[in-house]
Amino acid sequence: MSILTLEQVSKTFQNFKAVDQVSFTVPQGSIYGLLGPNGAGKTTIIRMITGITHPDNGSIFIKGKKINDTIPREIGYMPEERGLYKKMTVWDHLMYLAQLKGMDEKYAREELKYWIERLEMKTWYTKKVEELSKGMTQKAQFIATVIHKPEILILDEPFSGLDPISANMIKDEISRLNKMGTTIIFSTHRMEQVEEICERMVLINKGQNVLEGNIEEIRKASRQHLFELILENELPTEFPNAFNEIDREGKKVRFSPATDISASDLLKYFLDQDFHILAFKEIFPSINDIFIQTVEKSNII
Amino acid sequence: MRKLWLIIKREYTTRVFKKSFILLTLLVPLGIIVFSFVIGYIMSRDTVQKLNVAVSDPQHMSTDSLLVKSKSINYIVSTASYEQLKDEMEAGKYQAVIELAPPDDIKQTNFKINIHTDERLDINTSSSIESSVSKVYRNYKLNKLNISNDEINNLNVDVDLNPLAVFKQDKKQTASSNVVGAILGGIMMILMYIFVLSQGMMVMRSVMEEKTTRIVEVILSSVKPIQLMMGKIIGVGAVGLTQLLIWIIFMPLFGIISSMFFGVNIFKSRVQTPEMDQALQQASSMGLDNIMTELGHIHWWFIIPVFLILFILGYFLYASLCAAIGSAVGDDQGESQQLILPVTLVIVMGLYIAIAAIRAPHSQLAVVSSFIPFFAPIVMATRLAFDPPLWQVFLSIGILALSCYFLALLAAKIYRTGILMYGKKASYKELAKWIFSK
Repeated sequence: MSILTLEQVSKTFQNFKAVDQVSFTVPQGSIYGLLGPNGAGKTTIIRMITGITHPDNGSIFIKGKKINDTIPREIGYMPEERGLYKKMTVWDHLMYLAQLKGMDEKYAREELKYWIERLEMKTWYTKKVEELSKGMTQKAQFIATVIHKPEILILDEPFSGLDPISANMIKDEISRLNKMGTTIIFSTHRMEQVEEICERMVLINKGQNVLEGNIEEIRKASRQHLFELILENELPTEFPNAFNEIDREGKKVRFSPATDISASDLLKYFLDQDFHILAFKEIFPSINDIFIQTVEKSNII
Repeated sequence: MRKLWLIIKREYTTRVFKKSFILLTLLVPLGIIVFSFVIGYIMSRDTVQKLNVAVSDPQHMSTDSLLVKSKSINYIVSTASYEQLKDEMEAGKYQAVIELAPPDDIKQTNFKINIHTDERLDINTSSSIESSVSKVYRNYKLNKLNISNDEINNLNVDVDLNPLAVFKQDKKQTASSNVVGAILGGIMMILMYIFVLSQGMMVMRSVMEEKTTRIVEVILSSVKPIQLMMGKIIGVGAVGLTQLLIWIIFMPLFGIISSMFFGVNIFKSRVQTPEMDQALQQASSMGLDNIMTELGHIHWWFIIPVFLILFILGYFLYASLCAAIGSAVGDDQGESQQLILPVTLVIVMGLYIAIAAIRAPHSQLAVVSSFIPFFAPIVMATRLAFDPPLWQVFLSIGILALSCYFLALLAAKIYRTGILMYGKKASYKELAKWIFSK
C-alpha cells in the first residue's frame, strides 16, 4: 500500500523549471531514497510534500488524500539546512516546536522527557541552543522531527556533519522507527547510504524523474555480467577465451563471459576444473555507478 | 489560531524576559535623565565665563539700569574715552569697550557702534549687546522727543482672541484648546513615529535572523507563512506596547528621582519641535488652571480609542512591509538598509506633514494626507486633538484598515517566497513577481 504518491508534479521558479512532471509512489513502511545531484530539485520536491510550498501543476496524495494548501500532520521533516533559535533553551525550543505540531503541553512534555533520556541529552536540555555542540544540536533537531510521532519521516541529508557515533545513534533510531511502522524518506546524494539503508529509490536529475524502483531490481537490471573469482591456489595462466577475462591481480580474476552462461554453470565448470575456490560472485554495479551513468546519460539528452 | 497564539507567545516571552530588554527599559529613562543632566551642566558651565564690557559714554547717554546685566555680560558705564579705557583693558579689567555717541540726527535709525575687543563674540553675546545698546538709543530718542516711559507703555497693546461658537454650541472652544491640542497632537505624533520605526525594524531583523539561521524551514513545516509573519508582528508589537506602558507608568517616578538627585527637571529639557516649543511657552503663559479645564474638555473617550486604533493599524501597515523586506534580503545588513530606505523616507515624510498639521490641522495638506494610508496613522493621530470632522476620522480609519489588509496579503506573498530563497538578493522586479506568483 502506498502512503505517499506524487502525480505529474511540477514547480517553476520564475523562468526556471525546478521540478518537471515528477511522479513516484512511496510504499507504506518502506525506507525510500530520494536521490539526485545538488540542485536537482530534491529540496523543492520535499517542500511541496511537506506543504511548505505548493506545486504549480500535479497532485500529491498522502494516504490517498490530496493535500491542498494544508500542512500534513503526518509528516516529520528534518531539512538539510536546519537551524534553531540560538537564544532559547533546548527544552523550551523543543516544547515550542512540539506544540506547533499540534501536541498539547502535557503530552509534549512526556514525549520530550522520553526522547531526552533516549538520546542521552539529560545534561543538556536546560542549556541554550548556542551552547550546544554540533552533534547535540543535531540530536535536538532529530527530536524536533520525530516528537509528534509522524507516519512519514523525511530526512534531508541527515548525516551531513555528524560524527560517526551520533550518526550511528540516529541511524539506529531511524531503523527502530521504521520497524515500528514509520515510513522513511531519505534525501541524499551519498549513494553508499542509500544502498545500505533503502529499499526503493527515485533518482531526480534536472527536476525530472530519471530512474525509479526497487534498489535490488535496479542493480540487477543494469548488471553487466561481471564476475569475480578468488582462488586459494595459483590461477591458471590462461582462461578459456569465452570467459572474456578483464583483469587479474594475484589470485583474483575478473571476467565478463557471454551473457548466456549463468552463474551456477560457471561455478560448476570451476568445480570440474578442480579449482580451490575461495570466493566467487557476480559484481552488481553500485548505486553510485548507476547514479553517475544515469545522470550523465540524462545530461546529454 | 492556537498556533498563532503559540508564535505570539514565543515572540513575546523570548524578548520581554531577555536581559537586554529589561536593561533597555530601565536604561532609556535613566539615559534621558543623565543626558538632560549633562546638557544642563554644560549649559550652566558655559555661562560662567563673564564678559566685562566697559561702556565709554562721555556724554551720559546711558544709565546703568538700561544696560541689562545678564549672566554672561557685565556692563561698566564710564565717562572716560576709549583711549583711557584701553589701558584698563590691558590690565585685564575689561574684555571689551563700547563707544557710545549721541546721534547727530534724531531721525537716524541705523547705528554702527564700535566694540573694541580681542575676544571672539558669539552670536548670543553680540545680539544681547546689540539689543541693550539699541535700548539706550531708543531711550535717548524718547528723551529728546519728550515722551515719558509711561506713555510708551500705554502704547503696548496685548490682544487674546476669545472664540465663541455660533451654531455648534456643544463644541466649547477656548483660546487654550489649540495649545493643548498642539501638545497632545505632538505627543501622539512622536509616540507613533518612534514606535512604528523601532518595532518595524525589530520585525525586520527578526525575520532576517530566522532566515539566516534556517530555523524557518522547520517552523514552516508546522505552520503557514502568514501565521508565522502575523505572529511575529503581533508579538513584537506587544513587546513595544509593554515597554511603552512601563515607561508611561514609571515616567513620573523617574522625573521625581531625577529632580531629587540632579536637580534637573526632565520634563522641561526634552527635545521638541519648534511648534511644540511655542505651544509649551504659550501653555505656561496661560496658567495651569486653563490647561486643566481644557484637558477636561477634551473628548478622551473618543481620542484614546481612536488613537489606539490608528496606532495599531499604522504599526501593522509598516511592520508587514518590514517583514516582507526582511524576508527578501539575506543576512546582509547593507542590502536591508537599501530596501528599507524608501519605507523610512515615507515615515519621515509623514512626520513632517504631521508637524505641519499641528500648525494647521484643517489645511488641505493635513486633510488629504489623512486619507493616504502611509501618512494617515501619524497625521490623523496628530489631528485628533483638534476636533476633526467625524467623517474624516472614520474615512481615514477605513482607508487605513483596507490598505492594511491588502498590504498584509502582499507582504505575506513576498514573505512566503522570500523566506525560503537563499543566496541572492531580490530586486524590486522580483518582489513584484513573487506577489503575482501562485
